[in-house]
Amino acid sequence: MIQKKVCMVGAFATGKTSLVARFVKGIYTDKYQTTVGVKIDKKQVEVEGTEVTMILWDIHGEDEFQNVRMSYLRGASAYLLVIDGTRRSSLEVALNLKAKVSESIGNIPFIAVVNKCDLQDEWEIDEKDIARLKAKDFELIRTSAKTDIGIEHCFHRLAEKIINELPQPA
Amino acid sequence: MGDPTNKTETLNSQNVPTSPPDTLNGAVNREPDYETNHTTDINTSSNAAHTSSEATDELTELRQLLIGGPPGDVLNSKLTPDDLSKVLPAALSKAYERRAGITLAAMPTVETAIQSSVQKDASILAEALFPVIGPATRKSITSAIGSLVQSLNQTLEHSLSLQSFKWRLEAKRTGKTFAEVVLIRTLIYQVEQIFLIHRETGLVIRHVVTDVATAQDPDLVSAMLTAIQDFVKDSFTVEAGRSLDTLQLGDFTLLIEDGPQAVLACVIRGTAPAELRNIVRSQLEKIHHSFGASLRTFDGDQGPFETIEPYLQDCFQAKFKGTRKKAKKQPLSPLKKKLIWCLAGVIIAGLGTWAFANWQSNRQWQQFVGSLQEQSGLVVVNEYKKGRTYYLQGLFDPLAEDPEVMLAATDINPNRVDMNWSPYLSLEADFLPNRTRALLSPPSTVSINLNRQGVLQVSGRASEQWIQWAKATSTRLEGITAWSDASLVSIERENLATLQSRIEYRRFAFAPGKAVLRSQKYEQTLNNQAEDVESLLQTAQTLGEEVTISIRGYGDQRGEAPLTLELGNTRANYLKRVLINQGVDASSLSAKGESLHSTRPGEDSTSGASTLDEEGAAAYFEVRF
Ligand SMILES: Nc1nc2c(ncn2[C@@H]2O[C@H](COP(=O)(O)OP(=O)(O)OP(=O)(O)O)[C@@H](O)[C@H]2O)c(=O)[nH]1
Ligand SMILES: [Mg+2]
Repeated sequence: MIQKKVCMVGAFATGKTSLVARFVKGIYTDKYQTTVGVKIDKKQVEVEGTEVTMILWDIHGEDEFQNVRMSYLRGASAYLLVIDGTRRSSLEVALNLKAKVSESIGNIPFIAVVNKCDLQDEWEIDEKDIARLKAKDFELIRTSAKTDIGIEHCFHRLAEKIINELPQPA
Repeated sequence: MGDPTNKTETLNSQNVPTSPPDTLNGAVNREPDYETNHTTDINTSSNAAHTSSEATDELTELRQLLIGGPPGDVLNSKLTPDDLSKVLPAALSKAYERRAGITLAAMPTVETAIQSSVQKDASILAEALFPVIGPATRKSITSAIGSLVQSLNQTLEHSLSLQSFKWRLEAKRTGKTFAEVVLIRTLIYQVEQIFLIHRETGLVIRHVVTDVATAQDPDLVSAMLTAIQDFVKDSFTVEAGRSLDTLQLGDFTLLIEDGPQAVLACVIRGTAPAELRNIVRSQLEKIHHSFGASLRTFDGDQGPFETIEPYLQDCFQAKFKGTRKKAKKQPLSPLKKKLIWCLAGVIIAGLGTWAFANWQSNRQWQQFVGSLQEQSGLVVVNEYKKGRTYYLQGLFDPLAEDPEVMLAATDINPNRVDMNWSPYLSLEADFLPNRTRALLSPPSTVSINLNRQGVLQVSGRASEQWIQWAKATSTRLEGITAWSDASLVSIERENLATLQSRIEYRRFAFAPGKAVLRSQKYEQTLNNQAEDVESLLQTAQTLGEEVTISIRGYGDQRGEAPLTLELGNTRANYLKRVLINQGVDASSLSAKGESLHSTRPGEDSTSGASTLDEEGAAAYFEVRF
């Protein structure tokens, strides 16, 4: 059994808490309760025969009043970079955060998640943006906490990255 | 539920507005329930189970190590390792059955193997033993608490206080055992949970709970604690290197000890004594010492920390109130007690060491004083100890042993000694001979003996000067009544006698009818005679003896009597003149002629006369004192 610290990083209201709730407890609510500080949960996954306990640090989202504290990311093995597909600004925030993490923590494994894909019609992020991210070698996964799309996949993929310590794009 | 105004509550309440109860908050401040929850046992049985198979493997390996090696070395070379392996187990058990000394024979090898294994990496053996020790430790802790409860039970059973009556009611009401109620009600503090947290990741390395406590998910608590720490550090200006070290949550205190790689957090029910932190700190230090490498390379795998639990067990401290009296004063914590005992031990040991050193130096001093008193010519008048210093006043004969030298020969620190010696002359009988000897410093040819009557008996040979001086000095010495030198020979007097006989023995022959020595031979003899006369006169002078040397000359036998006498006179004066010319003092010399009928000095008439007749006329010397 191996434990790994994993962080949820992204702009506010992108669905970080919802993703964790769906992944850990299989529940979803439309009620928005913004995270203050950190909320911690854990979930065990099995990756290539190895049991990994993911200690999930659901960090408050970044907004105009509050930056994400990099100290919360200290010791993290990987992170989910959460983008709200319906808000273009969350993409810019995500890119900023990615740079900040790389600078202060290093190039640890991460996966970019574009959430709320159940609202794809309302998406402000288009194929061009997706292509831009892919050009940066970002691994992108579309998810929906509401309709449970890509949730298991994105967390397992993250665990895989941790275990294999895949080489990360700069 | 925890106090809503509590600071911690604000720190980690996650959701705004009100959040539904969730893992996070509950982890830290939900009130534990002793009744419904039972211990989350962390690492007992699973370890024990897989050890047995491991042990078998290890045994086989050990066997191979013990008996293995190139087959040709020990046994018939035709025997292959394969063959040997088939018979070896049977052979071993046969040997064991027969008590063939196999155990004894194998012992040194096994011991050495264990020893070098421990030296190489103690953790291997520790890990092998851990599954046994871990549960045993826990069992002993549980039974210790159990027996404490038992003894409380008994104490209370026999005391019909109002308090115990209330507790009995409470036990009935809650359905708890009486002992449990007592345990909770008398608890001052108890460490209920311990988290060893990896500092960087906030991952829990080890979590231990007491049997009575209710454990929340340690992973969540651990991470949460770390998050809180991070939050506090970020939100408030905290000195570098400092961190949150205590959280108060209702009945619970969270004691957090921060190390470079790991954090130890103790969940304490009640009020923990300040000393508890020292224990926790020292355990954390030990953990860093023993697991430093594993902590640095910690990747979320708890495996390398299987053996860490004993370190954490030491943090499980508890203290209960005394049950007989409701003492307002908090009883001593186990640590305080320990400290007091340690301190007392140190003091007692210190006092003991000091007392022993003191006793020893006193003994040495008394021995020294005794040896001084035994010594002739030394008198200890007064002797005492003041502070660390030994004072001594005494009399010392300058000829006695030097007390300072004697002191230097002992183990006594001379800086602690203040001796004051006044000179005196010792009259002690056994000291007198020495003193006399030292005082008179007789030549090696003299021996001195002082008898009980105080008579100094001196024998041997010595210079007259020394004899006279010694005689005069010793008779003035206290303790010497008389001087006896019956067998003492004066060297000067001895010389004088020798010279006298030499001088008187010489014969000077003259040419017939003349005052001229008969031959060259006599001239030489006369020179020797002059030298001897000179030294005789000098020696006599040093001895204070009056001495005269008469030279008697004889005329020829055939001459007329008056003529012969005249010739003898001339001859004697001739010799005298020669001596004077050679430097001999004239006043000591006399010369005269003798008739042939008078006898030669020191010689009777029968022996010497004949030669005189034959040789003719001659002259002789006579020494008179
Ligand atoms: N339609 C839809 N709504 C979602 C989805 N995920 C989250 N939401 C909603 O988005 C809002 C914000 O969700 P949260 O999970 O609280 O967002 P967060 O990233 O944790 O926000 P912070 O408080 O800033 O940390 C909530 O009202 C959610 O119901 C999704 O997949 N689809
Ligand atoms: Mg949130």
